[in-house]
Amino acid sequence: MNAPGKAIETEAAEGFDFETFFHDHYERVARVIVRVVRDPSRAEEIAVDVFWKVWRNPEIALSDRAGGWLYRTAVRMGLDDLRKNARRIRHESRPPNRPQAETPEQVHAAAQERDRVRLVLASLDARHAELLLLRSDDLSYAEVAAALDLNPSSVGTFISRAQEAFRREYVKQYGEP
Amino acid sequence: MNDERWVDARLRALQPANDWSPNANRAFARLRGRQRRRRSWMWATAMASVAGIVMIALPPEATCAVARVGCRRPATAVLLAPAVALPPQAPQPVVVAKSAERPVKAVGHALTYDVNYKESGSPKAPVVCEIYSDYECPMCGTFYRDVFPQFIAEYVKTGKVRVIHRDFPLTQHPFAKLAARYANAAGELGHYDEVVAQLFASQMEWTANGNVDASVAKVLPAETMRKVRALVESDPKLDATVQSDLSMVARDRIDQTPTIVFVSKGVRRKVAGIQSFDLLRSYLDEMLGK
Repeated sequence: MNAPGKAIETEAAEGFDFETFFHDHYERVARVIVRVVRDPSRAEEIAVDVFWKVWRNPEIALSDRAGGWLYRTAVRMGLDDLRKNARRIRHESRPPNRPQAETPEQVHAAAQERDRVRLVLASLDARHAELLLLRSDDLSYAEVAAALDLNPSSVGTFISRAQEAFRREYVKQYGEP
Repeated sequence: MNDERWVDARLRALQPANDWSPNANRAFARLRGRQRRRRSWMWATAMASVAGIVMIALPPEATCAVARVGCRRPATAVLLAPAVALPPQAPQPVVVAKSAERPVKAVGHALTYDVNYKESGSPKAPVVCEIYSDYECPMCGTFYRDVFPQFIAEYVKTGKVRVIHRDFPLTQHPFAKLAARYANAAGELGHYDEVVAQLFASQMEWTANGNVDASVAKVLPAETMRKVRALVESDPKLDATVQSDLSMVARDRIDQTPTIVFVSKGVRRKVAGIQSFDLLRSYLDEMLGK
């Protein structure tokens, strides 16, 4: 019987260890996506889709910008999924599967806040949403710049604009919290 | 509060639960599964394309004798895709002649007239396979001899698949219709499966001399054979079941044998020329969600 990943390795580009690449990046990619979509299992499905693209085109992983490509693609696919489901989120108010707060009121408030933030992200300009999500995942300016193909010296400015746009949109839709 | 802190406070709401952790092993297994499915699909597509090209390249009459891809209805030149989705329709029941006046007890098989002898397997099976075949088609013979027994053992007897035989006697085969009459007559008397197996097993003999009767007689008791002959000679209802199958041929746009129409979750997909049990198994397993 094949060891895990053997079948994949044999078809991938010469010298490329897909399994190691996968394990090196999967968790972080899934964590980026789960911020955007509300369902962790859906986030993992999207993360698998991201790696499927790499498997189909191993040159991505062999390039210097593999990490950047991964996070950019993860955020974009997450945002695409979020936009598709924005209407449903707007009309649903179910609590999350794993409450982080203690009382039912806190659970509800936390869920409401998450949905609001996601809806605002879905209505923002895609570049602004990508910047905010990558930055909120503790990526450095240099990493954000690599992921979004930006000049590192301009990232701070772009993030400030994105934050302004987010606040403006949030207040417009829901008022000051 | 400045924008940065205000936005950070909002975005912190997106933090996943502390006890959530991505399962990399499960995700990697998913990727492997996806890759396996892609490989089988590509293989099936390549096989079907080769089969289709051979079918187009050869004249219909030569196809049966030379190509290992089945028999094609004359005057058709449509390249079949490996799995062609058909308009949704429920699996059609087999129309079987029922003859209440016939002595059921005389052949020792109770209620044989009321059984759809062309169907086998659980009515609750999640997948239905409708097999269109011609008794004189060499590739149908190969399918029934080499693939069908294992298919029955692993999928039909285990309740996963219900199988329906459908007659598609092609016009270029002079004895196919007669063979179908014998099989259906035997079916009315409860001996369908053994006669079908015998017709395909002895295909080389009776297609050479046209003596279908002699081949069938080898597997039936003399008394039953006498009744079969009587039915073959005079029973008009035997043609009704073939006619019913031929109407399905037109409806499913079948143009070669063997062709299997897989019915699952209300979707009908036709696949022509399956000659390997492994291929059939991977396709069925995919459909059964393994």
